Amino acid sequence: MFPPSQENGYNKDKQQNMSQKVVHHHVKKLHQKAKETLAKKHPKGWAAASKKTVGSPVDMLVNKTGHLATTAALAGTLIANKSVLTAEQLTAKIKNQNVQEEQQITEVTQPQEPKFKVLQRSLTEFLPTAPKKLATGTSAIVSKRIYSILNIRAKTELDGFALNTDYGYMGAEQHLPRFPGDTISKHDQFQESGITRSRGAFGYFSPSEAALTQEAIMQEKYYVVVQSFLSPAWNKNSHQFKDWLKFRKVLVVNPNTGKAVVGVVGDAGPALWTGKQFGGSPEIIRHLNSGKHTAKTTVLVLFVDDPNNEIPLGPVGE
Amino acid sequence: MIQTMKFHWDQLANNLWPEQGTAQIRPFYFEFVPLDRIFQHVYDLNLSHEENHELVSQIIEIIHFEMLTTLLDYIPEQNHVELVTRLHHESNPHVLLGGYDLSTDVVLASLRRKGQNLHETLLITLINSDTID
Repeated sequence: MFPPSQENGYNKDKQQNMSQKVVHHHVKKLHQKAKETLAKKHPKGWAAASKKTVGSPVDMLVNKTGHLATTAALAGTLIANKSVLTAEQLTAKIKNQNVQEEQQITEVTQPQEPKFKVLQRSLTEFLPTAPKKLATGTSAIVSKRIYSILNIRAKTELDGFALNTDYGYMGAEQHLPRFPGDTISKHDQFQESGITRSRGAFGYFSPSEAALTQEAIMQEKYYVVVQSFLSPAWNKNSHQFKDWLKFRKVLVVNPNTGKAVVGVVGDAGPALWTGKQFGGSPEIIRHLNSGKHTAKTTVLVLFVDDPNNEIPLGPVGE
Repeated sequence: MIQTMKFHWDQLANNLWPEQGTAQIRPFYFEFVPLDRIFQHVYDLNLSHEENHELVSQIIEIIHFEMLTTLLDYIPEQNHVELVTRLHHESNPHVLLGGYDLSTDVVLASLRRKGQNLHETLLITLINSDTID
């Protein structure tokens, strides 16, 4: 599903063991809770359902003709009854199942409609209506869906750092001066948005106009404002966090439109009282809202795992 | 891939198969909890034979207990034992629930909702620990 990891085999095994333990732990808790709820609410029903003479609940799922829900789920509809299939029959059925799976995967990874529409549908079906920091499980689903649609690894937490939230409201910001003495007339788009008086919290994008590069121009065009000062890492080591965060690549998605853009962290804010958790450059705000200027946009903001700086800044999924 | 599928099949067949001669069916409400994606994630965990069986069994029991709780909410307590027994012999919910003073459609709608929530909860629980790499 995902490209091979750079990690060595030992670390992968270790990571997988951890995953297995966490799954067992959580499933066990759900199992215990389900058992207790049934026993407490309906003691007679529980007694009947758990009676040894009837068989364990797992046994009771199977009928004498052999329809096994779990097996059907695992291996497609491999077996229709308990009669034993020959090795050839089993292999043929599994091959057929694999072909069907591959077709489904192709359909998911190569959508006919624009990717932003697939993304919009894929995210809105399970995201909370009101933005709030996503639960670990939900953010993992978000990351997986984004990867499968945009081929971008985007995560709530990267290198041990996380923001105060990953799902919130984004305010419309002005342009930022890219170098000392930069003016709004030197910006090629959305001059009506204006420009801030001072540089962003992470400094100029370029030391001078002469040294201005295309990369620095793109960084300002697609800069994001985050509440670094409210993030957990800020209290632990603000200097280290600030260095790490400076021009850090992020993916911003408006789940309501599916529009997405890769930008960089260029400033700190907005203030708590604004009720917003992020800010976006004029270019970002317009793109996320299909060309409209909007004061408050619902967004997902995730760190982009791009160690080799291969993902270009700007809109994605068009 | 094929070997792993066969492994799962053998494991499940060996461990979850009922005793010969039992004439029991799985409760109808299992239809409301799609299992494909859930078990795909279990499969991705690459568990050992025993761990896989334990996890699959627990997931099935979670679904069974949770759905049964919801179903019994609508049934008079004096009929609980009888209903649990009939659950394993009658697959048609309209026949199964037809004799009680309730709206079968309302009960089925409630079970569908419960099934959807349960499906999402189980998926999130499994994906939560699944690494992107």
